[in-house]
Amino acid sequence: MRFSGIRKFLLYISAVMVSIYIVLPIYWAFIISVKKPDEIYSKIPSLVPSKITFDRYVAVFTGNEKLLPAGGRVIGSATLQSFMQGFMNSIIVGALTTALCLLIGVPAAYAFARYIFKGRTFILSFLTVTRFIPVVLLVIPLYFITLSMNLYDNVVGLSLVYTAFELPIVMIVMMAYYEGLPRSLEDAAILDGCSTFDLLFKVIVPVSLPGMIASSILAFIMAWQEFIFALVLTSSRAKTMPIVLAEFFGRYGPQYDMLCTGAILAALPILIISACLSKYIIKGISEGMGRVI
Amino acid sequence: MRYARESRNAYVLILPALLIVAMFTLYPTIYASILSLYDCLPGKACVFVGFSKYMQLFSSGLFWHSLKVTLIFVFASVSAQIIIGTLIALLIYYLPKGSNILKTLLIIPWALPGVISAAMWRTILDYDYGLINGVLRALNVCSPDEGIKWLLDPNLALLSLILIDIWRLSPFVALLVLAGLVAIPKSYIDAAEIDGASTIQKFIHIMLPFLKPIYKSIFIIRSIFAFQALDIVFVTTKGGPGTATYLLPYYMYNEAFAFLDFGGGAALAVILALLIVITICIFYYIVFRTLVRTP
Repeated sequence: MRFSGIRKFLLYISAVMVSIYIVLPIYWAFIISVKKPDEIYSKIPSLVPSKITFDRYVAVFTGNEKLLPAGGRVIGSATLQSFMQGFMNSIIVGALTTALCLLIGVPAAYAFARYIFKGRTFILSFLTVTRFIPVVLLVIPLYFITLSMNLYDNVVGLSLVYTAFELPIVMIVMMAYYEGLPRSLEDAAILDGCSTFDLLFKVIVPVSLPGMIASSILAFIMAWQEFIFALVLTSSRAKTMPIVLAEFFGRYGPQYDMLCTGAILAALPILIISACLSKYIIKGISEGMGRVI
Repeated sequence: MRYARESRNAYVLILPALLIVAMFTLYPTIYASILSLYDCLPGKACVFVGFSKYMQLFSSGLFWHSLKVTLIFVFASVSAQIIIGTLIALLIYYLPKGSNILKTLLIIPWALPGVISAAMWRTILDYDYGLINGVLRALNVCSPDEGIKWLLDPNLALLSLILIDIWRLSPFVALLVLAGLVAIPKSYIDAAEIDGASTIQKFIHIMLPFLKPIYKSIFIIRSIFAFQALDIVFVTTKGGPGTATYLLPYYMYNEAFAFLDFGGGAALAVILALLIVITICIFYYIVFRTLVRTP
């Protein structure tokens, strides 16, 4: 479609406005995290900080509260350490969830994409529908279930719950990928006498790497951002970053310098992943979420 | 033939997925429904009370208020997200250059944890030190001691939550709609253009029918998750001021984990789940058929 100059100009202006709208909260949180305290807690806060300090980030990484900029409100070293612990827990839970989702989801997706068997449609719809069971309905029972299984406040327990919840998405993305894959390669492997499991791990997995990247990014992002399960199923050792920040806000209220430092820390992996792997994420979203119903 | 012979293998491949999903989703669903019929207080054995937890809720003013607030939140934010998301998708669809950068930006609000987005927005909407009030004061729209009480005014607090949710998920809707737009065969759109259709006519008569299935999924996915918005309440208003933003999930969380009435919390969760199902059914069978017709 061809546009006249003025319409083109309007399109670009709107694109810039949308970009500013999306980036603004992240920019604002970032400059708060590097501003001097008196510039943050001002009736007219500055849009561009006059002086930049990364001391708050250094304080979080070292757990040393003495490094925090002078003039800010007092925060103990235990709080700083909880930021770091939450960050590490989020990474562990994200990685574990992703690994479990692939390990369990890839073979299942392959089976659904390539085999015809009794109950296929029923099992597939069951697995898909579970993604839509409200988290709020599951969370109270899961509190008791994880308690009784010794999985409460445990990164493994949390990862298992996330895996159960994200498997359907991973499976749908993988199935979409397998459907686009020609069968000739598998047929040749079978003719050569390859067993089902050799076929899966030596032939299918290597050729379906792009699909696996897309679904593992989705699994990681969803584990990284999840809130309700993490809130109820953890209490001290396994708290993830969103919970640490929510509790920080609950205890200290609008203590914006550290709240924003934590927020930017928690946003960092997402920003990096989005910038580097956006193609896979968009593929995952449009093939996974868009195809669910 | 190969498939019949090897179908046993298929079950082996599926079994782990089936087990873990049944364990952590099917079993808790049944568990919750049963738990809602019991009175479980800490330190005491659970007592079967039938539907009295539900009756208690139905006779409480807070429940109906919370239901009203939740419905306003869900419908306002989901419909705004669909409209804004569609506009952004159309913008990217027509954008001659730079659409990839914009698409990458669109991922970010969806991928960020809700708590993080809400915390970021909290610093923008803050009465004393927030960006919006700061700008208003700098432009002399209001005096240094005044400003908009986004999160402190009971009438604005819910709107603020809706604004945060719109920021978080309109871009996600845009990505889905865009995927639908791109899939429309070019020849249809070109033909309409030759016939002299305007941009709006093209959207209504050519694109909308193609987008119908996508809009269905978007509405369903978005309303399911909007009904469960808990994270953004936690770091912005905590249900307040007063009970102005006391959404049902927050109500449920408090019942179960602040007041330790697990039966009451489970009853609320069951009601919330039914509410989601009813909303989707109404949407599916009434709203969608009248609003968007297949040609």
